[in-house]
Amino acid sequence: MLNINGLTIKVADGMDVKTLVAGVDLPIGEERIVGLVGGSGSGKTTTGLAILRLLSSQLNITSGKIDFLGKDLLACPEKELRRIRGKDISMVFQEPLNAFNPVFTISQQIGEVLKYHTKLTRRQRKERIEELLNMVGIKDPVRVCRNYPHQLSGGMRQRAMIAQAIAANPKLIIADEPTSNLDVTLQARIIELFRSLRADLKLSILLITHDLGLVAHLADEVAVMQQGKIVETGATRQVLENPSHAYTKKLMEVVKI
Amino acid sequence: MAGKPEKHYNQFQLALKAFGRNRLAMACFYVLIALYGLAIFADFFTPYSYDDENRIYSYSPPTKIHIFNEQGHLTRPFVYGTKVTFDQYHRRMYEVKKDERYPVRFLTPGQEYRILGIVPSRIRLFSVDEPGRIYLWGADSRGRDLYSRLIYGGRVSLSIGLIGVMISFTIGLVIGGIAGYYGGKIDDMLMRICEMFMMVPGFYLLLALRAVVPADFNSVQVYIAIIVILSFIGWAELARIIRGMCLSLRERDFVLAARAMGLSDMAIIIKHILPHTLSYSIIAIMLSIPGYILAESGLSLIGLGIQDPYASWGNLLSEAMGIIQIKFAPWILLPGFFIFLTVMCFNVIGDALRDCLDPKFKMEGKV
Repeated sequence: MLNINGLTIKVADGMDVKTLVAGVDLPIGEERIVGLVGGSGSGKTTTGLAILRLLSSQLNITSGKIDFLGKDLLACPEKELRRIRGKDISMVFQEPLNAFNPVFTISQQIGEVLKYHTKLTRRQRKERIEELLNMVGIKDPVRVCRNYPHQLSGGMRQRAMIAQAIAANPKLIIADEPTSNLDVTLQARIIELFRSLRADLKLSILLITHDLGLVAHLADEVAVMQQGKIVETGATRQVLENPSHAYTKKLMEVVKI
Repeated sequence: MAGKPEKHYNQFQLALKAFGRNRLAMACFYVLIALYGLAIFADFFTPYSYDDENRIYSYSPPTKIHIFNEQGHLTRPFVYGTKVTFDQYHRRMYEVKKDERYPVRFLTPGQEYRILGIVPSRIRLFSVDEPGRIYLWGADSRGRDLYSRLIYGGRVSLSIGLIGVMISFTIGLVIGGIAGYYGGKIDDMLMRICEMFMMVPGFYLLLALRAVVPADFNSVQVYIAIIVILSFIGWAELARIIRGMCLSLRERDFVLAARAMGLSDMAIIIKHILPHTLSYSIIAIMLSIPGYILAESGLSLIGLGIQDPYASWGNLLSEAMGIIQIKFAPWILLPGFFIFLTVMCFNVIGDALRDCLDPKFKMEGKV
């Protein structure tokens, strides 16, 4: 469904040009969860943001193709891209407290996605928001709707963020470190939630993380990234049981401790 | 988990509660409400129209309202008639004619007017029958009631501040928002334009722009021209500050999240970035309204603003530019007091709003 081909991203750093992402190839199939793993600075988040062309203006995509359902996202005009963002491809961020706008309530912010990407009326939107919050396992959606982001607990916020991401029935969710700020029990629940959503909504997930444990539990396939290059890819079990690249082995050792 | 449902206040509701506890600011708030109320319903609260003149009564002193008759009995309020004579220096002398009594009538029909420009009405709060005149706060050189002219003048002086601020803040917010959000060349260009406006000393720019406006404009056109001129000058400084705030706001995660949601740049600026500058903007708005009122008064004072017979506090004051007038008719300084009162109220409210909107200020003084 989504096919990244030879993606190269460079940044001008004073006089010399640094390459952040060097020729990344990453296919994501229908209803697949693909884990993109790497240490910090390996370029995994940059790759994720590049899919929706959300990189800051200093970072330049110098070559490559991102094919989404037959459309090259890197070549399509901004206006068309805006219709894909949030609707066909949405994002879940690491820290929902920052990703939600602190001055609006949860329902206002989920409603915003619906307002831009669906034709629902005000009342229908309200129902849909409650339905969405139910789907992500929030038990009292009516109260949460009225709350501001800072009034929710970390786990609830992440659930609300996911509710926002699935609001317009996307085909792909890019989840950037979705569980890194949560404790272990909450991580397990969010993993469970992602699994059930994939099954219910038939969507694909690109899981960007440094946590191999999370990948082991959730992802079908894994791509290991180091210094802007994908050094190893394959089915999750195969890669984790039998890592061939030295960097993957190193990552595995870190998890075991 | 029984009990009453928890009520959540947002930042502004909390700020309003804090504002309500500030007595001085609330008093100023009510004073402003009263002033605006008087101005809006000026036709009702005044006995005469702003251009109702009677030159015999030039600089007539304030009329005394009596509630006791000659026998010392309480009666309904009345005023005595006035006789005008001239002394050996050809100065007017006002004598009370005890034999002429005019009762002050309340809620009587007078000249027709329209409430808020729509509903026709004739009722005025109080008046006296002709040929008696009631000059609550004295008369001006043409024998027009200063009280009536003051209230009518408030319409111009008070509204110019609000409308001017609204226009210049809209421009300032949008330009500052765009400059801050996009950065780069757009930012450079917009900021240089701002600096051009800020470089020119304000009042000279005001005069120059006023000179561009044709001299034969009617009063409404002049009024609009003054508003436009004032807003033209006012936006630059705000735009610079908003731009600075936006530069830091655009790096926040929720802006990236909003872009990932598929919002357009303009929607992000207006819905996600500018609301964060609101607590600053509201304070700035309150503190800059006096500037507009003073600027209009200044223009009108030197005769470039609202023209006679229309009244504004500035052009009412222009009568008070000679020592003779001030000495013999000190009441013509009253518009100055009203300007002072209004400006002070806005400043006090602005300061109070800053105290309750800006969390940094809460640490100081009382907890």
